[in-house]
Amino acid sequence: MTSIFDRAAITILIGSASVVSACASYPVPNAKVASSEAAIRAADETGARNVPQAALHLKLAEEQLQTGKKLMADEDNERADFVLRRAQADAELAIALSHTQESRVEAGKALNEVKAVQSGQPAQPGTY
Amino acid sequence: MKTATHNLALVLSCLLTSSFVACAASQAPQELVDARAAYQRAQAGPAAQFKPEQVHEAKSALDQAEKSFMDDPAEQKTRDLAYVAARKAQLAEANAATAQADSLKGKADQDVKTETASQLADARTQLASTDKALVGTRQQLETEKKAHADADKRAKEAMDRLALAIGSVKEESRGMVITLSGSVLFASNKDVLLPAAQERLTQVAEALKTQEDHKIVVEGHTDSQGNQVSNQSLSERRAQAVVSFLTSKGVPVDQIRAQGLGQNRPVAENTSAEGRANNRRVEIIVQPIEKR
Repeated sequence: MTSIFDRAAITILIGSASVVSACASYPVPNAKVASSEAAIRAADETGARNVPQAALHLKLAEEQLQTGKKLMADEDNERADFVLRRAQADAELAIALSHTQESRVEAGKALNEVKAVQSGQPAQPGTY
Repeated sequence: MKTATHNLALVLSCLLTSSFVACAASQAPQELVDARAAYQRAQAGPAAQFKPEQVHEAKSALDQAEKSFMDDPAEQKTRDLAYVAARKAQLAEANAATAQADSLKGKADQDVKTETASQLADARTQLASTDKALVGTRQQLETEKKAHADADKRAKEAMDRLALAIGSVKEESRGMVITLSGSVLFASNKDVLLPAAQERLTQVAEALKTQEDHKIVVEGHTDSQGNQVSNQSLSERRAQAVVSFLTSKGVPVDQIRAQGLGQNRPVAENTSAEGRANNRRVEIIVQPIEKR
C-alpha cells in the first residue's frame, strides 16, 4: 500500500518540479531579440526588399520577431527563444540572398565589359 | 496480488508508449523533411567546395534537430531546430553562389585588364611603326631634296664653267642663253659644222647633260643679206646640225629641239660688217620645265 502511494507521490513530485523549473528558470531571450533585430536591419540595408527571394525571408523574419516578442510578453520564454532563432536564421538568409543578387549583377557587368573590349566597342552604360 | 496486477499494467503501458514512439518516428515533421533535403542539396552542390564550413554548420544544426526528434518526436522544438537547419543549408548555398559570382567577376576584370593591355601594346607597336615609316619618308624627302639641290648646283657650276670657256652665257627671262657666233660654227652659206666648232660644242654638250628637268631650244639666226627664204632655210638647217651634234654627244633627244628664225631677230644693225657678224649666230636656250 505504502509502495503505491510512495510511487505516486514521487511521480507527482518529479513531474511538478520539472514543470515549475521549465517555466520559472528559462532565461528571457533578450539577446536573441537584439540579434534578430540587428540581422533584420542589416538585411533591410543590403536591399533585401528589392530581391524577391530575400524579401520573402525578410518578411518571415519580421513576422517571427513579432511572434517571439508576443510569446515573451506571455512569459513563454522557451517558445519565444526558438521562434527568435527562426527569425534570425531567416534574416541572415535574406542578407546572403541579397549579396548573391548584387554579386551576380556585378559579374554580369564585368562579362559585358569583356565582350565589349574584345569586340573593340566601348561598353554602353545601361545595356547590362 | 494487487501489486502484481499493478506491475502488469505498468509493463503494458510501457509497451504501448514505446510503440507510440516508434510509430511517431516514421512521421517526421515537414520542417525536418525540408531540412534534410536542403542539407542534401547543399552538400552535393557548389557550397561543399566554396563554403564547406557553412555546410558543416548546417549539418550540426540538422543533427540537433534529428536528436530532438529522436528524443521527443512530438515536440515543437524539433520543428524549430529543423527550420533553422534548413535555413543554414540555404545560407551556405547562397554564399557559395555569391562566391562563384565574385570569382567570375574577378576573372572577367582580369580579362578586361589583359585585353586592354594587349590592345594598348598593339596600338603602341602600330604607332611606333608609323613613326618609323614617317621618319623614313622624311629622310627620303630630305635625300631627294638634297639630290635636287646637288643637281641644281652641278647644273649651275657647269654653266658657269661653260661661261668661262666660251664667254657668252647670259641669264635672261626666257632662260639661260648660250650664244655661239655663226662664223665660228659654219663656213659662209654652209650648214656643216667646222672642226673648231665641234670642240666648242662638245663643251656645250657636257654642260647641257647636267641640265636635268630643263628643255633646250637651239635657235638658228642669220643676217639680212640675201634671200629671206633661203636665210630661213639655212637657219633651220644650221640649228638642226647643232642639235644633231649635241644629241650625238649625249644630250637627251626628248629634251632638245631645233628652230630656225632666219633674219627675223637681229641683235645688231645689219648695216655694218660687225653688226651682221653678230646677227649670224646660234642661240641655245636652256629653260626650266614648268612642273618644278
